[in-house]
Amino acid sequence: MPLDSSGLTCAGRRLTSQVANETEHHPSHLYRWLTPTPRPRPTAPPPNRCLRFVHALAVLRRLVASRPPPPPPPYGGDRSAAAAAAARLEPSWLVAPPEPDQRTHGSPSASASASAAGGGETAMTSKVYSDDVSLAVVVVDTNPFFWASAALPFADFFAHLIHYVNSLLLLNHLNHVVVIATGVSSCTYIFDSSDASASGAADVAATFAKASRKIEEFIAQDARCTASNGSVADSNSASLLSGALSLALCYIQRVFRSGTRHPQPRILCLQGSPDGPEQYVAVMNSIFSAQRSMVPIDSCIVGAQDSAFLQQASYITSGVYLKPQELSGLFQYLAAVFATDLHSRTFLRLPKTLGVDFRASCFCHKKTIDMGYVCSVCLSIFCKYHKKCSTCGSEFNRVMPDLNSMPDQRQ
Amino acid sequence: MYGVGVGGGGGFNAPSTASGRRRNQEDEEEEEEEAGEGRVLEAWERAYADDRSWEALQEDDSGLLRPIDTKTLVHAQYRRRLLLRSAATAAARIQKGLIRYLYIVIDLSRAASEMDYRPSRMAVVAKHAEAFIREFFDQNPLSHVGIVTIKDGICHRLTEIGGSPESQIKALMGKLECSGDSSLQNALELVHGYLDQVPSYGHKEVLILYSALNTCDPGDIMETIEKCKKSKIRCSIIGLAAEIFICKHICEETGGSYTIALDESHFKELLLEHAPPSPAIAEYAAANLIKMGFPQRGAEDLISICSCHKKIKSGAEGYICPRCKVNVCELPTECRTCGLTLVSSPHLARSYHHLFPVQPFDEVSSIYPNKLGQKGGQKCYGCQQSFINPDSQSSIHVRCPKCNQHFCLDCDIYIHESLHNCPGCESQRSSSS
Repeated sequence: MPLDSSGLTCAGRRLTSQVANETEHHPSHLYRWLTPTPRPRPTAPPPNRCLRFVHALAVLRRLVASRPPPPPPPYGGDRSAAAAAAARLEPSWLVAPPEPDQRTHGSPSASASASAAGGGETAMTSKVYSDDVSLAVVVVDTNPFFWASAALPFADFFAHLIHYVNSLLLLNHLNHVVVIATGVSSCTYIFDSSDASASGAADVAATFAKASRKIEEFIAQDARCTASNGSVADSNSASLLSGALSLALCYIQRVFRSGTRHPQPRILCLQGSPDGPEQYVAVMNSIFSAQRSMVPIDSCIVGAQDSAFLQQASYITSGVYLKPQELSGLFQYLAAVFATDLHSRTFLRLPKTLGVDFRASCFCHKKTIDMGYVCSVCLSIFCKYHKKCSTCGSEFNRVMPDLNSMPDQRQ
Repeated sequence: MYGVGVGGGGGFNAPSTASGRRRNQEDEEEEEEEAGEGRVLEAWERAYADDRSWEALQEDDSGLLRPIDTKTLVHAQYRRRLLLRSAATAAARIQKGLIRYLYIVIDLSRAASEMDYRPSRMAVVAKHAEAFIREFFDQNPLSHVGIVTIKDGICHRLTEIGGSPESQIKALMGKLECSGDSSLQNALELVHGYLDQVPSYGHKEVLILYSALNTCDPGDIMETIEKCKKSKIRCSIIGLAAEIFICKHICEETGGSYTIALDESHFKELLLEHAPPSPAIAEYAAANLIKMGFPQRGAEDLISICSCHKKIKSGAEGYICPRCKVNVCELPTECRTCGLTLVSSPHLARSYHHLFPVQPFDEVSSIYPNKLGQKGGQKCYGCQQSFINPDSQSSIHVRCPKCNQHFCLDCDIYIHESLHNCPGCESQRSSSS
């Protein structure tokens, strides 16, 4: 399959080759991590290189964290490239504790069984504060109006998504992934890795089969809702991003207050459909709430046009905003950019957030303006002076606003 | 920023229970235990002040004392406040004063050194005033705050009214000494002088944190109150000692609220109640259009001197005023050169939730489990938590009157206090839109 590599950082590419070498040296390490991988769906060819990249990342972290007393040669093969890669990572990743971490790197059987379902019960009992455990809430856009005409078929997209979710669970067995689907008329939880049973490889396939069945059910039900609700006939209607973000934040709050473990939460929005202007206030409320609870909102745009909502969301919450150029390689973008935990992000060269234009647009002509007039009662924005606010109906007194805004209180 | 970068691999350090460090850790644990005993002692001390404080404790399995689960109590309290707030808004269809000019008056007279609050009234007031200022700017990004202190019968303006929380807090923390008497009249006169100059669309408010039980005034305070009333300054007072007639009179006359704190946590609660914008009385502030600028970040290669700190900055670090092209460091602010109010659109958006609040949810006790089972199972719609909790006797939860989805109590608080969206209503396409 065509793979576009512009999303990968230089270091990332080196990692792919180097650690692939490494796995040949230590096959026993890899087997444990490979077993829970589900068979890819027949619709999409398995993106092999990408999976290997994720496994490589996982193996690298394990190796770094549980380096045995006589350390094995850290990188086989081409040592100079390895050194370059290591130099980037050295400051944090290679500062390993003197003894292996009892919790995360326990007996092979324990970690193998727990790795499938991202912890769950085992995680609740162990009191942990660690920087590499993430709680990822993935918001998936299932807008049928968008997917009907999308460049990437939904089945392929979903296969990429499953690989991505799987990779997250592989990276750390305490990782917790929740998938929320957002349609045109409703939102729902699709998958929760803490619910999935934690008993080995066979169940993983079943779990994901269940997830895909659930998403199919959801799409059918959403279509029924949309059909019964006559007002949504417009073919470019937006998905309910605000609802999905609100659900995600409620879930994150629950995890905050429930566990003994403090995960590093983040939200990833996979959006294709255009923004719905009527959701502006609700989306902004969610963004500010996420900012207050320090939850970054990452966005990956699978549609044709940029989303102004998500650009703001990622900028305000310090998340990553990415619009992949080659959607057939979606998994590679997901794995390279959005799979790493928040701590490791500081060492990766992720797509830079472009400055977001925070100028407002006026309510009367929808023009973006540099200077404007704001109603003191309802904060509506106008580009010209009006006698009466068209939004809240308050009458403005005759004081010329320009004089009024001059700082006469200056001492 | 998110507490992950600076910690430097906390996850690796935390489990490093190497045997070499074990001894050290045990020592630390012993110390912690001692500290824990210290805490218990403090609670025991407090038992003299609060009657029957031992009733708030229960034993757990290992014989340790712990407070009774007060979640439902807390929630009931919170609901009472919420309903009160929404009733006040709904009853009169009152608009909210979103653009506020607030002076915080802090009483630093002799009475503020009293030790009935630990370590002293002054320290408690300063600590919570800091939290209040942060919360205030979070909720009212377009508002302004200034600080005034009363000491030795004289008022002193600590900070000019402004929009930056950090500078206010810094100024407050640097000036914490108390002596002499306090004077309400002097404070009101001073604040009146300053607030008289703010633009007419702004809501003028004074919040007095009053420790003293008396006021030592140079003239007739009633005249000052009349003056404040005429300039539509709304005075609120939080007392730390006991109720005083003159304070009550001031608040009644000017439309503010007068409350007395019982203890530190109550004080904090009362103070934070002033953070959300209060329902405004229409004639208190004239509606007007305010000219505002929406500045953009400057270009990378532009080097200029910022107008706020007089330091050389590159353009990308600051914002450029669209009217006079001067460089300012942070938003929201007022341009130092041309006086234009500079904001960005998220600052406006941050205030919108005050205009469209989430309706209070109805309380439901699950007497009809079957009915619930039909409606999406016995789970909170927001966080998927099951309502059937084996160790809690009550399974009270709430329901949104609009979308009929059920929510747990924690989500209820989160939705109304922080999120300001109902997840149920948001994940439903309303037929009107």
